[in-house]
Amino acid sequence: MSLTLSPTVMQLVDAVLELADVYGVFASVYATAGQGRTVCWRNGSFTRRWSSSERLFSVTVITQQGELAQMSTTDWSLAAAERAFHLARERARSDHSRFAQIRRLADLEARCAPFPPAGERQEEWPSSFYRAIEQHHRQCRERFGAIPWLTTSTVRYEFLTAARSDGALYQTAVWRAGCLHEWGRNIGHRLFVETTAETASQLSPESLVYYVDTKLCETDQKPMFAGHLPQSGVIGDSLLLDADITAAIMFAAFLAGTFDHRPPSSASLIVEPSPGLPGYHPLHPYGYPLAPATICSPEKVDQAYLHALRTCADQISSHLTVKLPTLDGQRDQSLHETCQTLADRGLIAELSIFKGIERFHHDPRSGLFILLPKQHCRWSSRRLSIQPPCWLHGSLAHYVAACLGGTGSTVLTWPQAGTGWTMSVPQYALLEMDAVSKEEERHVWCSTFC
Amino acid sequence: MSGAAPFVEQFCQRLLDDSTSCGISDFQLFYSEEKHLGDETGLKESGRGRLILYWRDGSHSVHLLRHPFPFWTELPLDEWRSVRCPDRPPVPGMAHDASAYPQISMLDPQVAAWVTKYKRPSAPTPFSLRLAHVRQWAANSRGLFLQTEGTEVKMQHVRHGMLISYSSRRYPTAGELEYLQAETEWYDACAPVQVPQVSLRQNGYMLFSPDAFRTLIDHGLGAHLGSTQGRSLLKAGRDLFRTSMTISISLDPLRPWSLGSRRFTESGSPALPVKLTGTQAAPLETIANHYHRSSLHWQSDKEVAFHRFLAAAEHVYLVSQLYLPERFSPFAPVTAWSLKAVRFHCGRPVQQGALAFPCCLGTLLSSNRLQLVKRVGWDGTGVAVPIGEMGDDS
Repeated sequence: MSLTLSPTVMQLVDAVLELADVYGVFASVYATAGQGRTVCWRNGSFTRRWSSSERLFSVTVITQQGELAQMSTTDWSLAAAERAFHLARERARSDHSRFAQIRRLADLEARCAPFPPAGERQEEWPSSFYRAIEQHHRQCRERFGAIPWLTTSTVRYEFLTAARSDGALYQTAVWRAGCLHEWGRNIGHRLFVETTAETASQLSPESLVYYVDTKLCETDQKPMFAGHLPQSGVIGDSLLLDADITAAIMFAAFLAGTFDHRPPSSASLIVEPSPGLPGYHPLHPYGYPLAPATICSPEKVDQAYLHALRTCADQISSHLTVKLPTLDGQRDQSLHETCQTLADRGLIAELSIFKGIERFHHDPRSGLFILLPKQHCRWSSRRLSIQPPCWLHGSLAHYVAACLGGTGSTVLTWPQAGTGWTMSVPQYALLEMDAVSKEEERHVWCSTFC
Repeated sequence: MSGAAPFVEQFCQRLLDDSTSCGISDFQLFYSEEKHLGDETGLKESGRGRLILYWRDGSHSVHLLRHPFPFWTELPLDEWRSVRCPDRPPVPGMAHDASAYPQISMLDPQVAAWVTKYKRPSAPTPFSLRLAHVRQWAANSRGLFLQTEGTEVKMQHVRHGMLISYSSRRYPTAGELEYLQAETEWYDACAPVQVPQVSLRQNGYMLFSPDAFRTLIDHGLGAHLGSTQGRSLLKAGRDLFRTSMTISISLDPLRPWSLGSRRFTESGSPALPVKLTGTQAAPLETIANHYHRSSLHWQSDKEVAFHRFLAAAEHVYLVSQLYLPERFSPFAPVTAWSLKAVRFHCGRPVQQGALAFPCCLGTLLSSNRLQLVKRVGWDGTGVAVPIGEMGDDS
């Protein structure tokens, strides 16, 4: 690490845990120290690079009366750690929800595999990674012709520590490499990918390059209605959403707390923090390891774990798998064949298909969202016809409840650019909007002026 | 907690002393330290800064600094040297005379005391409060060392969100608190119908809150300052912005108690008002140097108070927060989404719900019937535009 006059993480941890013993409270410490290097290329040539480092030291105190509080500091010094402990101890108050979350994390701890030992010395920065990304950046530009293209690639090394008064201690290191591509006139398109690994040498640009290439193949087709302002459209009751839209809606619903109250939905949500998957983050800020579990299923909801993940969703990341009932057994079918199969099974008569995301805005507090897809097709009378784009607008709870099932192979995608969260969703998800609440809940943007 | 103050000074001194042996010819430092006290988040200290080193071999390197301000026993020169970039942005200028830096009211000592002591004031309960105490430093190797202190107060209603809000650098007076309380009671008494989507009438006015209008300007004009392509787009529309506008937009960092007020820019030059539109509009480079979203303010001849405006117009749609694409052309129509728009009919709120509407920024700004609306709690003025003149071409 850099040559700052600072205590080691174990010194800070020990100081806080000793204080906790003296005061007779239970303390849980979570510390992250990370360093990153970011390089930026624009239009085929190197623009600039910068380095960054961040540190976080978080103390959660639980008193014997069951009151708790959490204090975090980025000041990596003994004085700040002790101050955080004392502030947490003084301001502890009873918080049933957080207490339940911590209890649940403690129950799930038994499921976690032990972490490999991590040394405090970091390895060398993988410069070959950057070279591979630069080459890919040039290839992408060649493919699309001379349009403005901006690629930002970040490699981060994080050293995580969690320790508790009951003697548990976890120390592990994660390497994270991500890449953000932005292209188009007025920078309309954006693509974010990330991968994690345990050592720097294991960071492979190939998986990122492959994912980006597949996505770019899909956007190769020129949109037929470019520049056309989205209008109203009759979208009918049956919708087929592709993986990007399903992931965006499901992740927004996860953040908004829609899954807390178990809407009558056929969707199951499983969190899988496993080292091979891109969104890997081993520890939770409350001082416990993240365990794989089903957090939401049609039968029950693991509310405590769901809350624990959601409240710290901006500090950690993980992988969520969305499981929907399978509608057909075939894989690698074209869109037309998929629609045909669904019609043959009697599930649909007509279908509105939406692919890609042009714009997506959602509000976690109210659970509303608005989405403009890139492509809109309509399948009726055994024919697919392309339609002008049309907004989807409504409440996340209603869309989640309307999911009937999924079809096609599973796709890994990053629902929100900039965060590390990843999701696995089926290639297509079929939604049946409830005919009864058509007026109130299904919202189609209408440009009619009354 | 003294915070970063002693460290910043020591660091600058060390860099000045050691620069000849390190191979550094100049440096430029900006650091901002904030302490937030919010109802949901509790007490939070954060800091961010940027250090630019100019090396003797003609390269430069940029380093992002985080809270707390780092205290190095030995400067990490090898690490810094490894991230040099070959090109050279403009080298920092000489320090200006102390009188060139404006003295503006930015600090409310009461708010600063609350934040430091971690004590929430007894504000009216239906409002959620967010206080901040900010300290900023700017320094360079040519004799510049500036520091400033400020506070921020943001209040919004617990249920209605940004509809009833207060943003300023100072805590509201008793009169202002009474007004906000009265507005809440009036709003609750009128009890507008909650609809999923508010329907738009052609013969109404769209009233943007200052925050919503700032989003519109920021994403439609400010976002283009960062790229050459964007700047050529802005240059192409210069005539539009120069002549045919009833409203003049500027970056005003000297407005007292506004959240956008500041004494100096990140590169250390004194903060000045900069005009974006009108015949005396500044060149794009100057705008880019001084640009900060919260400093956007606007003026016009027609200004009217909030309730008077509501009573005068038959249909008014109040939009407090806008969702827009991060960057869009001001000459093409774009669809904006508002989460909690309110429709007023003859001065009473009747409907509340989400609203998505198309608008074209260029047409909007050239409307003749544009009015500014004042309201207690708004940082700046709201902008009212007739819906027919918002630029929907459909």
